[in-house]
Amino acid sequence: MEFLLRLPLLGWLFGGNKEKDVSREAARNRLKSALVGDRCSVAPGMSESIRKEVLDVLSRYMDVDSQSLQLRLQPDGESMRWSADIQVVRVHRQAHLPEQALVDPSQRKKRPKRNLRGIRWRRSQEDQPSVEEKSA
Amino acid sequence: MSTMGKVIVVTSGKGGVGKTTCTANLGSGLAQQGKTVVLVDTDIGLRNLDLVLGLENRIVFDLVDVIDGKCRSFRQALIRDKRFENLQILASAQSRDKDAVKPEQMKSLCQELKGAFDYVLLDCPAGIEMGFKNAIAGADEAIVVTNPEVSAVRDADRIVGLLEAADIKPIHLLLNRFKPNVAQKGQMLSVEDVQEILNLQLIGMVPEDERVVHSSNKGEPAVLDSKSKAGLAYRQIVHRLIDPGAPAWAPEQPGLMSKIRRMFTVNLGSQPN
Repeated sequence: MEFLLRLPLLGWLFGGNKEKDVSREAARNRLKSALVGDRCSVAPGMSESIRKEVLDVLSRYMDVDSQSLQLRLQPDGESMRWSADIQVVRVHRQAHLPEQALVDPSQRKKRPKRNLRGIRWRRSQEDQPSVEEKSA
Repeated sequence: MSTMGKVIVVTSGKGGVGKTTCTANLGSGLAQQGKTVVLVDTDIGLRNLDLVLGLENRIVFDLVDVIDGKCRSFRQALIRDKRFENLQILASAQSRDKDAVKPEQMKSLCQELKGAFDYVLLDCPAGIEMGFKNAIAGADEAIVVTNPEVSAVRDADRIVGLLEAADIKPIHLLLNRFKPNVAQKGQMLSVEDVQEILNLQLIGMVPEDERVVHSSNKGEPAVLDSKSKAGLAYRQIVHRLIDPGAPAWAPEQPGLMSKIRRMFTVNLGSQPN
């Protein structure tokens, strides 16, 4: 059966979409990559603002050489790859605690204490000595 | 008179994708539905809309004359269509350049026009320079015309970015010169591909149709040609412009041979595709 389809006329008649010309795929992928580049280059101040925010995030965890930061957007196979490259000077000692690192050390609040059952102690209005009781 | 009309700019970025043809067809289609319509050719220096509609011999005043105040009011410069008395066009100036008009002037002209018509369609010049800025200055909505080709889609994306920055919405996507047979074979971007890449609401797809050139040659829009597939597509788009809830039309029109082929492949029990 297969070899019959190789015959030009029969192949054309019955083979139909057997051999797909996939130029559509090529068009779609190339276009998508091109638009990633276009949109990045066109957006005003986008790369500058990414640069600033990346440095902001990194400096919560480590001292970096901000001058050495390189941001790159380049084709990688069928898609586009965004990459950043930076020189690290030193890493903060508490760097393994991301949720603390997100908060500015001066603003850091103490964690609420929990009882054994894991329920957070919460002083309700009733528990607190009211102003009247105090005065009495 | 009480309600304001809509100003819709027909734009594309790339030239030659069919902006003027679309403007002429949608304008005629809207007029056929009883709407009052004015078409403005904003491509200063490259006048074309009049020719597509067969009105090239009637021009006395043009867009720049109106803006410079050479005629009493814009009404004096409007040319009434041959077929519909509720369709008028304002031709562009042939002997001036795009710097003859400023965006603020276009804006106030659009404001005046939409007080007098249900629809104001602006035929935008190709490119993203002054002519484009003038054309979009007074627009409420936009129709981005593109073809299923990489260069046309890329330019359309750029245009969409500029329209979004100018806060023009909604932005409708019109895919022109589509060849269902070629797309079916995977040799052309599909309607879904273009829609996905541009991420826009599709207002309609217009198939490639030789009759469109034929109609342009005669100065009669294809939308009025009952035998034209493109004409049918334009009529559907007109319905969607009037009622955004109307269904989009994306016909699948396999040729006779592929129908026969499919019949046999099923009968033979082999896997199509």
